Amino acid sequence: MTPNRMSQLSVLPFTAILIIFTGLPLLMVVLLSFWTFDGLEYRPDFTLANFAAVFAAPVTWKIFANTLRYAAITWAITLVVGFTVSFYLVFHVRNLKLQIGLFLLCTIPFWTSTVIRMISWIPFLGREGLFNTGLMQLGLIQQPLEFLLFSDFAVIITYVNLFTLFMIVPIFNAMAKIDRNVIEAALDAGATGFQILRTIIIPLSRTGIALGTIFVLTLVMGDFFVVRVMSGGQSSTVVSAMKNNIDQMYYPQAAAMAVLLIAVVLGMVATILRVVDVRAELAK
Amino acid sequence: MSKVGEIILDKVTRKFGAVAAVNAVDQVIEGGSYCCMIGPSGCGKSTLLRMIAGHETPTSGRILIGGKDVTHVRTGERGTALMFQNYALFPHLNLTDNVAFPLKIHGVGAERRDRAREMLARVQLGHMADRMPSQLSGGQQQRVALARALITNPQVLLLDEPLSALDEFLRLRMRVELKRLQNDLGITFIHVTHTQPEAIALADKVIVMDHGLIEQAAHPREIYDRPHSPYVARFMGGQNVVSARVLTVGDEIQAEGAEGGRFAFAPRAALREGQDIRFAVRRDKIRLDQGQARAENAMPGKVINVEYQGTFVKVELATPQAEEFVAHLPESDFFANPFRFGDEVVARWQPQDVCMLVGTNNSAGDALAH
Amino acid sequence: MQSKLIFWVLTAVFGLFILFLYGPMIAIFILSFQGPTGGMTFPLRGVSLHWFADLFASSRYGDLGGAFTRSMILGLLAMIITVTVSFFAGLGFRRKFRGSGVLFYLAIISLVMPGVLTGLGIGTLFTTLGLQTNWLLSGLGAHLTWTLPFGLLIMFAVLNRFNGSWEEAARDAGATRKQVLSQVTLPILFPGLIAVALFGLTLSYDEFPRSLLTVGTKNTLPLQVASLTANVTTPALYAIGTLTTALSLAVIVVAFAAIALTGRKR
Repeated sequence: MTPNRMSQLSVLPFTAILIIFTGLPLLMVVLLSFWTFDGLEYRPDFTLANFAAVFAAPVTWKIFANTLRYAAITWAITLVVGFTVSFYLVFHVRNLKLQIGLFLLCTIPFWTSTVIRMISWIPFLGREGLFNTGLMQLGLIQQPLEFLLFSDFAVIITYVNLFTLFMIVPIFNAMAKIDRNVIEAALDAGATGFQILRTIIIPLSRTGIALGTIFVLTLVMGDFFVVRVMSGGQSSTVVSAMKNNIDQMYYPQAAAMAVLLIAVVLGMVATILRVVDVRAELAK
Repeated sequence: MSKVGEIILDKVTRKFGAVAAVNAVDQVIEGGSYCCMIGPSGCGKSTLLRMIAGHETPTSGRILIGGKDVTHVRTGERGTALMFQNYALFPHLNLTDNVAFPLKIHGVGAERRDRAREMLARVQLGHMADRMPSQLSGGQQQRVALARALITNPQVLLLDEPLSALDEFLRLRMRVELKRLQNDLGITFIHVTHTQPEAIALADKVIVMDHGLIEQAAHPREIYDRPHSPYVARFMGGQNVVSARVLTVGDEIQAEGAEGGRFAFAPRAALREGQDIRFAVRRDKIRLDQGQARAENAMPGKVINVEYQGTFVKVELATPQAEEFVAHLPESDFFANPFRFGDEVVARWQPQDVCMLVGTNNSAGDALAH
Repeated sequence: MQSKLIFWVLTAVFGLFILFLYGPMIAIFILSFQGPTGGMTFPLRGVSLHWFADLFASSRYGDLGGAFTRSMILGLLAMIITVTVSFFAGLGFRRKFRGSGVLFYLAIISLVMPGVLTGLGIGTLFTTLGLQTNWLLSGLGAHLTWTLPFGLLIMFAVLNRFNGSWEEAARDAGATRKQVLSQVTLPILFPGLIAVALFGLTLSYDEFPRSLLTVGTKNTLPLQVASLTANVTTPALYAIGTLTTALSLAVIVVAFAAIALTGRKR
């Protein structure tokens, strides 16, 4: 058997599962977006009506804008927090055992339920939640703050809580691979801490930043549950609107929206992958 | 009097916890000289180098470069440049930007790329200016590292085991290039190595270290020919170390080996009768005779190894003293009168070839590993 | 001086982040022991196991036991399949082969596709083919679209540190392909495979968006819990949270212990 054949045989189960459960369903969604829905059921067709309806509705642009806004804000916050935490762990915690221990501490929530972690915020943010009672007891506010729960604020804080570790893990890995001698060489050239950060550490962490960005953007843009619960139904994103369509059996319309969303998401991911060769860097 | 590139170490100490990696080291390294620091791993040579570079701060003591106290001056601002053992090239920058990096840090504008390319041309890599470091061979990477270190015109170039990652052939070639470069530039080179021939071939001054102390610092010929202590003799090689007890003192010392041998040599320091001492005899000053006849300045032994080395023959003996004993015999002498494994022989030498060892450091270093 | 200051500022930031990460979880953990008259927020009105008992006694929470069993079975199946399939996939990816680029991008798409959309696709694909969606087939498939790409990425990381000359040495000693795999490759990669297993199990056990449209009529635990968030307004919700989190943590502890143990043998 040739090495080529061996490899293909070795990845065959992987390929088969992904084709059946990712490839074909993706194709199905694309097909579905051209089908018709007569109010009772959907059936095969080739119509652009779904897309026309989606494009024509002003609400489409609003929810896309809203989704991108959530994604951008969450991305910015998780990037700053994730970078800072990784930077601290890699360059300021000298003891290797302590460093790994603290890193694991940051990643453990990854293996627990996101649904549970989301609802954990409710007793914190509510009218009678910990924040409000705490602030009132300190005398900082007289009235409970209303914007804490069931608001954009609650949505963003939950996203940040759920997704920051998707930034930390890849950035930490990229930073941990930076050769300490390279940093000393920069010091030797007279670089200040800030210059080293800007000219050495950030460029050499770019794979991690790219991977983390991909995770955070796609997770936020694919979410409907957090936005539905934490905004109290006041805000919607592409997927949550789509979920409403699905609940009402408007499958083809949902599919048209889905195709649009997938195009946006894949476009973003492709752009990031074009700028940073994640696969080559992963193999290092 | 010009002090450019002169380095003064004044009681420099560096402790890690309770352990002194470098222990109150005093030394003056002349400006424009080529200095090699040598010793087994953990002897403190790299720590000392890193303190001169400013990557470590001494626990106590002062470091002066060019007459200026730089003990607490930031690295990169003290007129030194360090070339790293694994080169530490920036993996995300091409060769030009790697070499131009120190200039960029010092605020040099667009001309920095031109200067970097000039420097690359100087190390014969002008045609590769746009490559990335990962596309280079080890020898090429090293020349880039050299170019990057030299771009700021340092007074002192510090080299941390610069040749250790290269194969034998490249190592010898780069050795020549380093020496020539130092000659051309006229700046101080401090080169850390654990390879004795490298140190002897390159240096104007060799500093032999052990356990955080300077054991001997001198011209390589002095180090090789007149080692200070048993440790230096063993570590630098080429010597046999013999133990004896002083019988009489005077213009000539008479001593006796534990096995009964009698030795005579010139004193190098005050001695008293009954004192245990060690002395060194160069391997190439030893002559061998068949048989077991006892004589003054001789050592009986049994041949345990014979290696032909081209210009000489290395004969190893097992002697009553538990220490390696080797004779380097001229090729023609040996083949006129060859020795075999198991031959009983007597090794003899002249009193003027004996170097009494003043220092007491009796450790083996890692010389046996070489 | 300055670097000391930076260190302490960063330490404080890190501490706050950990508090932010764990604070809410600890809060619901405490609140799940709320007394029978207590509400969903502080203060605690007594300490009791009332809400845990209520989970098992009352029918208000739907078929929690069944949902848990299904999630556990799905998790274990997903784990076994993920470990096996991504192990071989990882080995295959060590060389470039025809189609490797396309397959890698398919894995990336699988990873970044919004979960609900994957579910929508699988659901409609099944309906179109005249099949019923059910948790053991379409549900499991949906979970694999999430666990397998992760498994592959971990295999990449694990194989990075794997020296191909070990296998060559084994072949040199006359080992067959099977022997190389069972005597050399598998034992050396074993700790990495436990990590893959940990991901396979927990990612599937906690999976939510992909399950939504693919498990058919029977809920998994996260779906059941999500539906309860809408209508349960008692600390029982937190009791569920405490229980599933405790289970997840137990799995992590077991996995790390296994990695440490197999690692120590070398």
